[in-house]
Amino acid sequence: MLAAGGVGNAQILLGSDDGGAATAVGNENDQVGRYLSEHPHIYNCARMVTRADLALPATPSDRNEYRAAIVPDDETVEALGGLDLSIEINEGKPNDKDSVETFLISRLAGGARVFDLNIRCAMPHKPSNRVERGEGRDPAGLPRVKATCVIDSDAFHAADQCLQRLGENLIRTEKGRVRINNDVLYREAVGGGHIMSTTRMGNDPRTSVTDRDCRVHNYRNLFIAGSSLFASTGYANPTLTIVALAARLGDKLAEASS
Amino acid sequence: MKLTRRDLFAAVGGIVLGGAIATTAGLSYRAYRKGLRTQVPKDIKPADEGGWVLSSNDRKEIVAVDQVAESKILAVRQEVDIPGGDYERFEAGSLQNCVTKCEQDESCKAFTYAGSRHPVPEKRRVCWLKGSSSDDPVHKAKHYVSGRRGTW
Repeated sequence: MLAAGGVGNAQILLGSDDGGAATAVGNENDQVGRYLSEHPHIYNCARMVTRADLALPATPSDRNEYRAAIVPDDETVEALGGLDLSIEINEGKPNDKDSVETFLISRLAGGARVFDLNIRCAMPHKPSNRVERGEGRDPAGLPRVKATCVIDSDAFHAADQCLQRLGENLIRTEKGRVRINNDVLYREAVGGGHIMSTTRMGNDPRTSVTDRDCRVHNYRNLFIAGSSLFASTGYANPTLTIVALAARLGDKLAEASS
Repeated sequence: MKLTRRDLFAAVGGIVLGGAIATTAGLSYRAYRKGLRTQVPKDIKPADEGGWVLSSNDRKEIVAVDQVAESKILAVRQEVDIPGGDYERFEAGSLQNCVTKCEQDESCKAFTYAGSRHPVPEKRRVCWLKGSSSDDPVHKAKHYVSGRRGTW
């Protein structure tokens, strides 16, 4: 059982050819380390002014670390190219330096609320994003790895289009307006610190490392646990999915041993 | 070389056929472009007002804030810019707000306001309050409105 994290799982497999084996374990199809993914987070990339009576999700008062978010419906996700994302809403104060915002607020009868919006986004899988063997060894004696992870335009375009749709819906329903800050959206994305998909699961050994049971293709007795299994990344934090996959794997192993 | 009647017909036929192909291609391209345009809902324009996604009605209302300014103290003139002499710059949001702020401040001898269609987004609906040392006014300055305490 290999359970060493999003980078560690791939690193250990890639280092397994040190003994002079022709290829590293599980890497017969050059798939180990590929599809390296992150969660692009884009903070304060938009602003929203709404009518005070618009029903929006609220942050529970006793859970300060949680944030309320709105998510696109299935139809919108499909229109965005199948890329999952969420729009976190943080209530703020009116910006009196933005004359359009001031105008929009003044026009909303019954009061207005303003929000700063953060996008959390899935990242499309690209084989060129990968972890590879680097030079030398790390303090644990494992071969060092180097990573290539480029967030391409699909993610930014999906975020932009989603905000545009939100703005259009608010216009149609006369519930508010949205401002998209393209400078931030396209230039200031950061990673959420979630490293995923470096030994992703799938049916085809030519495009994946493990099968649906987390077993490395063509290895009877080698299993993987962790975010490196993810066949898609979604926008949410990965821990719950990691735990669910590990519990499922545990059940299968127990079942097999009995 | 002698041209026969057949050559003549072939040449004319070629021109007609080529023209028909070019026309068909042009019409098809125009229909394609029209199709692209109609994917955008009619009333909603792409974001360009500082990034705000607005309806065309919003835009009309925003531009209207440049039009109305009532003052018994200041003489207001359209398409005039008064350079220099600034002591305060702020986002007024409307011409009337700019006028009112200048009226309420004894040291404000003049003001200049940049309209909602100013080509520089950062200057739109900005108001500059001016002391006594401003330069001569520039006339026919599109997108600007200025006012002076007293007469021009």
